[in-house]
Amino acid sequence: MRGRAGFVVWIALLAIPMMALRCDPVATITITSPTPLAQISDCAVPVSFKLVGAFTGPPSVTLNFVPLAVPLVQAPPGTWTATLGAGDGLAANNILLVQATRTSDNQQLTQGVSFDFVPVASARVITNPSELIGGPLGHSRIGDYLLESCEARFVVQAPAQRDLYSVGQYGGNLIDAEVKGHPGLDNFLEIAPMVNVETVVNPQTAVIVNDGADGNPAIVRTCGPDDLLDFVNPSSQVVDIGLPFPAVLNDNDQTVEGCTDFELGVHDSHIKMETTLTNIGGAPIRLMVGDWFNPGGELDVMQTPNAGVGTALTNNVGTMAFTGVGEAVGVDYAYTSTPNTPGSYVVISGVIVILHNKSVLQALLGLVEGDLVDPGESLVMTRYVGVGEGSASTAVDLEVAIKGIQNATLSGCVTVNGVAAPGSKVTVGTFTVAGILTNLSTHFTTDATGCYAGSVPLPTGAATLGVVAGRKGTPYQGGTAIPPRTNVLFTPGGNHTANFNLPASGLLTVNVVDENNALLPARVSVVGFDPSPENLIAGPSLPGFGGSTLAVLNDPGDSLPFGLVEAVYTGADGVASFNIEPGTYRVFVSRGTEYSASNQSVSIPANSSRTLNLKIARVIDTAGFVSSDFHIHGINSADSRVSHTDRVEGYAGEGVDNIIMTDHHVHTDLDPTIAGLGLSSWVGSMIGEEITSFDYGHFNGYPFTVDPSLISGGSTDWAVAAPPGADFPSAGAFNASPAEIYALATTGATSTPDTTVQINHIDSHFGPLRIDTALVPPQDGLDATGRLERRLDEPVSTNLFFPFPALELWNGHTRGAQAEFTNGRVGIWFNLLNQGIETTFIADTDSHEFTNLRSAGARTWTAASPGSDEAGSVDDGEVANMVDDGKATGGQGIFVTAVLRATDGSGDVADLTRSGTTHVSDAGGNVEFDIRIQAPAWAQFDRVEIYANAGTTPVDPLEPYAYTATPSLVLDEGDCNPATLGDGDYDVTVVNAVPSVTGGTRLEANLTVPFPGLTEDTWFVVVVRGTDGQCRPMFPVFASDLNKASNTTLPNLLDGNVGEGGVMAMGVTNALYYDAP
Amino acid sequence: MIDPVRPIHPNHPDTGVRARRPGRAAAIALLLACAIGAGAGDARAAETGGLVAALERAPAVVVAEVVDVTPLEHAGYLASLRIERSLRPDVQPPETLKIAWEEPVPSLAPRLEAGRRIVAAADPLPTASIWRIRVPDADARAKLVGLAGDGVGYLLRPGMAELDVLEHYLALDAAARDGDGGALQLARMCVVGQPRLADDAAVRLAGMPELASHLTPPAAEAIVEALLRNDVPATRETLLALIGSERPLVLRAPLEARIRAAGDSVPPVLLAALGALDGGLDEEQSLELLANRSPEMRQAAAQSARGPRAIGLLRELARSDPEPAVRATAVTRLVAVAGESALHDATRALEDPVAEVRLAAVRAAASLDPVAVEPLRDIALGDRPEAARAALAALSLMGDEGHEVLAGLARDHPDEGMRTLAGIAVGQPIGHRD
Repeated sequence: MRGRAGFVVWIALLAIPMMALRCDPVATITITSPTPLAQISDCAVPVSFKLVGAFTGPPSVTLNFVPLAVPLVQAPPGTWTATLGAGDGLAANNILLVQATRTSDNQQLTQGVSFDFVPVASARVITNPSELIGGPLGHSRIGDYLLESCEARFVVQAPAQRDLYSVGQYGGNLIDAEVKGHPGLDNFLEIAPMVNVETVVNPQTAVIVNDGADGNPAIVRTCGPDDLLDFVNPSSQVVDIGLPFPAVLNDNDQTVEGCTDFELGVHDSHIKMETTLTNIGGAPIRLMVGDWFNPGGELDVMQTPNAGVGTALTNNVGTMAFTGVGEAVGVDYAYTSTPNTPGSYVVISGVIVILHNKSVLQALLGLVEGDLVDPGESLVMTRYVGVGEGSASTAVDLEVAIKGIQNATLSGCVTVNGVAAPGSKVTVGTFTVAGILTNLSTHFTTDATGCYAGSVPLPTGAATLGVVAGRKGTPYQGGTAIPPRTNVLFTPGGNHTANFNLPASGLLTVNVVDENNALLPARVSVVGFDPSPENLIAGPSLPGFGGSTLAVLNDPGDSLPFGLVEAVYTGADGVASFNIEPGTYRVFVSRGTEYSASNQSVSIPANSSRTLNLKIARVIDTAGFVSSDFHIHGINSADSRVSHTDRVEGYAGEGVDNIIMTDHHVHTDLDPTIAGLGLSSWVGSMIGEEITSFDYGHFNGYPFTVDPSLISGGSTDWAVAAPPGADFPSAGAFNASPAEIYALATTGATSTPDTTVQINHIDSHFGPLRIDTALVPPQDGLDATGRLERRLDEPVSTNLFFPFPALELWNGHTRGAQAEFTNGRVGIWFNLLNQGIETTFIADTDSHEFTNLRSAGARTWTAASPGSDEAGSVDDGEVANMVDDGKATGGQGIFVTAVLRATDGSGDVADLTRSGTTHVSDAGGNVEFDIRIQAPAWAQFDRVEIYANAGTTPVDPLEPYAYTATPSLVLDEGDCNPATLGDGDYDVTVVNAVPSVTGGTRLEANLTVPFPGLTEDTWFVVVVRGTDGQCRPMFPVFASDLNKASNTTLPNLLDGNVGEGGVMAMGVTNALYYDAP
Repeated sequence: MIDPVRPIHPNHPDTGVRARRPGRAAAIALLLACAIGAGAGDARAAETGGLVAALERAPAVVVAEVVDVTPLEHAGYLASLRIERSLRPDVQPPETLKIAWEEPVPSLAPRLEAGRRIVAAADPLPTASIWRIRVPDADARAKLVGLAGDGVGYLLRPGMAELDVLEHYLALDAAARDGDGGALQLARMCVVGQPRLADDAAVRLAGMPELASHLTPPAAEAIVEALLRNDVPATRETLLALIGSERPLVLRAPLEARIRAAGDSVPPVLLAALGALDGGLDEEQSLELLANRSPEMRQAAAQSARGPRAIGLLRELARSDPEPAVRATAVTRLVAVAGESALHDATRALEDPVAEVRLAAVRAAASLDPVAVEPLRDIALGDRPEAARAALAALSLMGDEGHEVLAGLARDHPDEGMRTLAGIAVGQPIGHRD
């Protein structure tokens, strides 16, 4: 290391040319940056100099006698600038020389400066908004702690705060991360140190241990006691499935204090997290330590060791990568830990539960205990969280570096027909002879130049590994059905190259217009077969299992339904344009239940484009009603990664008037996104929240407001705050009961006068609380042990049943979702109605994903005032009020309404309209039930079930918490063909709703059913369906569940698919009530 | 095999070692050393953790009395030391020294108390910014030293024997510490050191390059002596592991001598150590010890039992020994020496009422891949819940055939809990509803 003496020597060497410079005042070189003897601690060095006068040719610049590695920019003329970073030849002491040839005498002038470059990391409290890390999950606030290196920035949340928000319940944890120079991409939610499975550290203090000014790593330390991570309760889940759960792990308030040091080196792009858990009591304790980790954002997953990319729901911890997709392209996160075989993980509801040094399975089996910690002793666990520029290989590079794994380097580029292909995927691993990936070594996403580079771990030395590449919407190299493999013999320390040139794809543009030729938002679905399908890997499980499917190139976690090659939503401009592989397809355009569908065949040649113009029309009359999806998740939920943009465009394209965002523990406002996308006249939004108890039900409250001071926006604290270190049942801290949850939701700081609450997927409420709705009144059967297991302190004598205003009886988009309603939930509802507990039926989707088209599922239309029954004019309060009033009807493909008419001449009616009433009486006990059924031509129906004070049957008599119901009357259309008249109990009419549009028709039936001689109060509900095997499923508008075996060709997919699975049309009214005089 | 997180003392280096740039740290240490008249510390030791490493690295190691202790901000502390003497022959310490440290767990009492006699290793005060807050006056800060090893470099109430061995050890140069002399002194620390020192010395010894070649007979005697200490279980565990991996033959003679001298009351740990050596216990010894009344003795013998006749005794111990640790060791060893013929014993042990034994059986059965797959499947489908769950665990540790069976159980097992567990084992989703 040279010191000042060296500098003096160099100044002397420079003296002669500098003197020469002074002899000619006409031509000069002036270095303005860096200044002589500057001590530069920033990570970049700005270089700037001016040439005044006449010089021949460009200047020559050297740094430490090596030509400058970065380009010089001349602007304005005569002023030259450049920025040097750590990799550009900078040393601790530097000499920058600028040389140029003076025109007047052809003499070379030289000017120079000496400066020190000692960059430092930094830890500081954020005081300026410009220091915040932004992005969809950028949660940093003034007062949080920023750690900054030359490569990356991380934020540790200020301690001593509670906000019920998934893993982010407590402050003092890592919440944001970004690569410097790549702002606005934060998709990292939080990681919380696990103390003893169900508990985490609740940091109450934070201190900057080292601000980094000394050149050593910057360190922030947070400390606090253990507390329950309220939003999870694994013990009750384990007990519920009949397994013992170790008492030592169950809500165990231990004598623990935890401190985590967050450490960032000057050139690190990863945080080292070292958590020390100390027994501060007088007796030995056992701890099963780890992390509760939720990367959270729009991220694909790769975990090693595994046999492919995607979420493997449990395995040992090697390294984990979370790579940005969609709006998050350009960022990735990494997690690894030491020692080298640190433990295992399991994924629960989108959250990765990591046991630092234990097998999850063996822990569940009771085969291993926590580690013994004597009084005054500690456990230490060390983990590393990295951030990169958008490739899973960052995580592999991190693990290789941290653990010192021997490795080789692989680099290359991917092109499509010779053109750089950013976003391509490259997988390296061990393949069988048959081409099945059995062990993933690393995985790359190509950068903006289409290239990639990184480490290939070689833990056992040299190895021949396969390298494959692919890109969505593009054929595999050579046009094969599986990606061809390039075998590379990797040697430790070797540098290897693998380039790929993929064949050209095609471009399809679809313009969607209505009957007035106005462009409108819609979904474009491409029916057919992918010529280059993702190479799925069943992994260790048997084919046919869901959930743990991995893939060779792309995370298969959210995939298109079978039979679709692509599904794209147009924006407000009604245009969708996307790459598609050469082939023959049928393109459909749809916009949910209220619209017709249009389709056209298309053949796409390679390297060419096609444009289709398709027209659809609104064919269902829903005047006086507005449609909502009452249960939607997005990127703010721990178990969903869907961006706000995708949510809005998706629902606009599915023709839903009102998006009710119900993120877990978060209040999300989509209105700014809707406005930004220009879709305000097509879709609106309402702020809701899924109040997510872990083990006694989820509850959607809406509408709410947003508290901007909280990351959650003001979530409902159903777990109830307690003093630090005392959030345990043993300390008297319990969760809110169902009745208390209702009160919290409707009277909280972010509640509105109209806020109402529905129980979601109701079996997850009535089952765990063992509520038998057939009892009068409904009564829970949870004993004291069961209540304590769920952290409820209600005495056994207190009934946990609470009559929430609404029940989510049908949530989803599949056959299975319909079956859940009819095969177990419907009877719960009817049991309540039979007791006079008027409760509203809700149908919605509970959408967590995007690509699987779940948002194209069930929905509910609520009554609306004139002027507020269209998207863009939805009245949030009115929607909630109509839910309370039961004035709503639900469906998927069917819009059904009903009127219950008195026949005594009073003219009284009960109906579902905004201005009407749902109750009617008749002096003689004779009423007529009018039913109006509408469906687009693609949603066939034939069966009408009328339930009137219907009887119910428990699904399991020994555990009577789910009930089916028997219809009071069934009407059958006959053959499900409107053209065939008189073959059943009623006929369906084809109404040419919009004659100017091909296919602008709807199916309609208007029925009147008399119910004479009623002697008691009677409720009426209608369920309308298409019969499987008789009517057509609604593919591809509702595209799920089509049989694969009987649909192996494009014509197969387009032949109506009767009896071949798929989703059948269904509609359900809310109850109308006859009141006996 | 999953590495355990080591239970450690709060002042163990793992709690506090920060990755500093070695060059800079060494330079600062040099400055401190010059200031207090010492030579630089051992750079190699600086890259390891622990008490011994801190003592080796520190420029000054002194015996002193704590005069007073002053709390500072953010759980920092400052103590005045009255120096008695130096443990490094090349260092002449001042009469008094102010030494600072931090307590990462604020609620714990400070590790040094006024009036205590201690050994303290002094490092340069860390340059971390928090020390500017704790001691704002730069001049005052410049006069401070830090408790070495981020606070672990101290011993409370050192005994005469400890001081003697430390002094001898610190007098060695870096090369000698990794040679015969170092091995001897470290072994002696295991004998005379208080648990913190003994435990760490054993770890340091185990990490010594080519250890077996540096163990002289006196060092071997010391190791055997240390094995007999009952108050340092971690030291004993480390030394036994060391013997198992290095198999230093120099230990045989002192071990056998001790065993002979002990007559009928041989400490089991000596048998375990002897058994770990190549050609350790002969078959007759094994058989005799496997039937010993002492469970520790039976366990020690089981760890290294060999020969056809031992198999029968191991089988008996695995089935019916009253001590779970013996049953666990026996089933592990039985499968290791008898292979597939011990399959039934391994699967039978899956039913053991004690988790420790079941876990040993799980691992033993899993090592019999693939012959154990079908028997384990049958057990998993059986009506003994503990055994069935253990069978799933064993299958999860096996290869493709085991995983195929698990996948089938995840789908078809009549018990929901078992289906769920099997699903977890093969990566099926669990979790509550959306």
